[in-house]
Amino acid sequence: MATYKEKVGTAVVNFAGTYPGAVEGELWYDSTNKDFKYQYPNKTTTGSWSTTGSLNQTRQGIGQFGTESSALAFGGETPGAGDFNNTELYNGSSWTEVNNLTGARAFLVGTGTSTAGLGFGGEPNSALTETWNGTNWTAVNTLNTGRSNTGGRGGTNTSALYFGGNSPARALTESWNGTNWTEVGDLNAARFHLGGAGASNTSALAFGGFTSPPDVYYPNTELWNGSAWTEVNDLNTARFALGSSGIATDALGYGGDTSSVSALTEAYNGTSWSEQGDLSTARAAGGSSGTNSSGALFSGGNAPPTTAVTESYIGPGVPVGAWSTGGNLNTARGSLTGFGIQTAGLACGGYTGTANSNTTELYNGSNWTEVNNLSTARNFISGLGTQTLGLVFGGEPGDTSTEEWDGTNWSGGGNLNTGRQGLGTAGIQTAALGFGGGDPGGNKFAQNESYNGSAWTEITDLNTARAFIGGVGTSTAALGFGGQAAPGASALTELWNGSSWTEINNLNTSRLNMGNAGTSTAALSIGGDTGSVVAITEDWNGASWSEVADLSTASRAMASGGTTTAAFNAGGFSNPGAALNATEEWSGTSTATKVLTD
Amino acid sequence: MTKTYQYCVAENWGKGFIDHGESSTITFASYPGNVWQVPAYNKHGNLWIAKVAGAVKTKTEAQAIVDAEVQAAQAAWDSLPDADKAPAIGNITRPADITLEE
Repeated sequence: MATYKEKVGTAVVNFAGTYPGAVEGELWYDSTNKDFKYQYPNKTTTGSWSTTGSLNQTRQGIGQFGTESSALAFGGETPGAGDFNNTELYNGSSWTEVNNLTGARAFLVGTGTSTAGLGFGGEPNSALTETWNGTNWTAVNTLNTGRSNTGGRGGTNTSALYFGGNSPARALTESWNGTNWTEVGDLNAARFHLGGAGASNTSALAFGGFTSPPDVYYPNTELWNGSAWTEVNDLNTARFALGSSGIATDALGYGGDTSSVSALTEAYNGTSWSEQGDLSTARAAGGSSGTNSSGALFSGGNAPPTTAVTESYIGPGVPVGAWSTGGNLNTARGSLTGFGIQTAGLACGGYTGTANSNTTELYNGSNWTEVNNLSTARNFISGLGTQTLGLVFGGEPGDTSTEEWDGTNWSGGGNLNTGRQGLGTAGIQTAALGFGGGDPGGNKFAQNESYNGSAWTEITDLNTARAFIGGVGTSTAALGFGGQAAPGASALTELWNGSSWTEINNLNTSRLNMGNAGTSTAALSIGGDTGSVVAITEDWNGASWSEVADLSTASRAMASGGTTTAAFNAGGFSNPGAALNATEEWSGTSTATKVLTD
Repeated sequence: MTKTYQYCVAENWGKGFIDHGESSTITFASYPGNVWQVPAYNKHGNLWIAKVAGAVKTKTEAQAIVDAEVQAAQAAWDSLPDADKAPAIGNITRPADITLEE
């Protein structure tokens, strides 16, 4: 038998404990615990949904094609308001109205890409087929049999399949060759409101569906090989009007109606269905698109009521982040500020529990070192920049002063126009933003000021005044989130584009005094205060917040900095109000150690 | 009743007290009085307690340590002037009791 070295090319390392030099999959012998071990990347094992920008037009029965980052939604209805011809284009974060369908209708099918697609069928028993060229819809040859509530898919606008539908419930299948529809082999089970996946008119999957009366919910899945349908393994949960996307061997089914609306998501791997993470909004009859089980987009639908909510799906295999301990601050304190990166950070100011602090400490990724003090001891101070070029401003009580850090010393800068504490920050020393904040009188501010390296200038306010707000980004692309609004903790998130603030998707947990790291497109909101001190960490992916691993010590009003792949969070106040000296380090990736004898 | 967690007292010395491998394998939570919570009946939790030379505590013992810390913080809070207890800005509230889980 071959030895390990002969098979792998290396000998098994003998190490007392967890071998820090192990690469992915490398085996070592832990002589302390007498175990053979190896490490592997820690990744998600099921897919998950996150919210993204909502449709402009609330509706259900939507046609849709494209991917999770570029899609077109068209048609649909709102009960009582009739059918729509509206078309909206999705760019990965928001929907924009574009040119309308030629014929308003609902419960139609779409296939193709956001620049070359096909929309067909729809209610009431429409045979209409339209092609989309990236700008306009054009009517082309119609279906042989007009019907609605069908399944249908195909990868392009020149190769598509249309199956099932009503009324009455049908098994009928038609194939599109880019010019005409032709009747081909029937489904085994006639039904309507079924899901569909497929890359062309020769390879498709039909699943779920409904017939009535009596009410029958179908888990049935059928595979199309270009000439006939074959029954394959059923969905785990029978339902109709479900979202559907992907291809015949790699598909997703999500939401739908099981006698009530469902949030369930299932992935098909070519053999069987497995459950994935649920939608955050259970609904049926939304617009759905995506090219495989790694990504999908589900827009609108009936929750009930009819909704404009859109969610984006990402499949399993996403790296899982984790916190570990870093070097402790020399002076325990909270209400301090921090900036820089995990291996070159700065923390200054704060409150020790008995007095305001002017202490400045630098972090090298392992240890904090005291350097020259701030000229003014203060807490609830705000800061930004790097370990060699920093800026701090404001503080309790309603301070206007600014200090600039040159890597060695602090010196005075221009004063804020409005003195306040707990501002959100973004940018660098010579192009900075300070927004929001509060004062001891209980006022919360929406003011946004810009610093040019010497003076602060008032610019466009936040939409919602808030104190102790989180902030990341640059002076032209910033994110403000959470904070204390009247009367309590806020989950609001606003995006700054250099001239104005726009409200976007909220934090999952309303809170203030969080740690912050990252940019306007990739950020962390760390710990904070919901009324009690929390360890919650949320990750911003440019469109929505999702919960990731908690801090090991719940804390509020910390010093923090870095990115979503490597951040630090130091000091703060714990739940009983004690000043902390602990530092935690975030890694956007992590490994798990496996013991062979487990 | 089967325990979900075990407790120990250990002082966080900083870098390496909890490393990324440990953090991504088990869940840690800290409480006042240097009380740490890790999963019970878990080899990785046991190994970590051994690494940090944690003094293992029963849930009752750990709760008593936490209670003493919280009660001291509550007494300090109670002695504050009323104006400091209800500032017009920020969430400053009386330290809350903490109940450890079994």
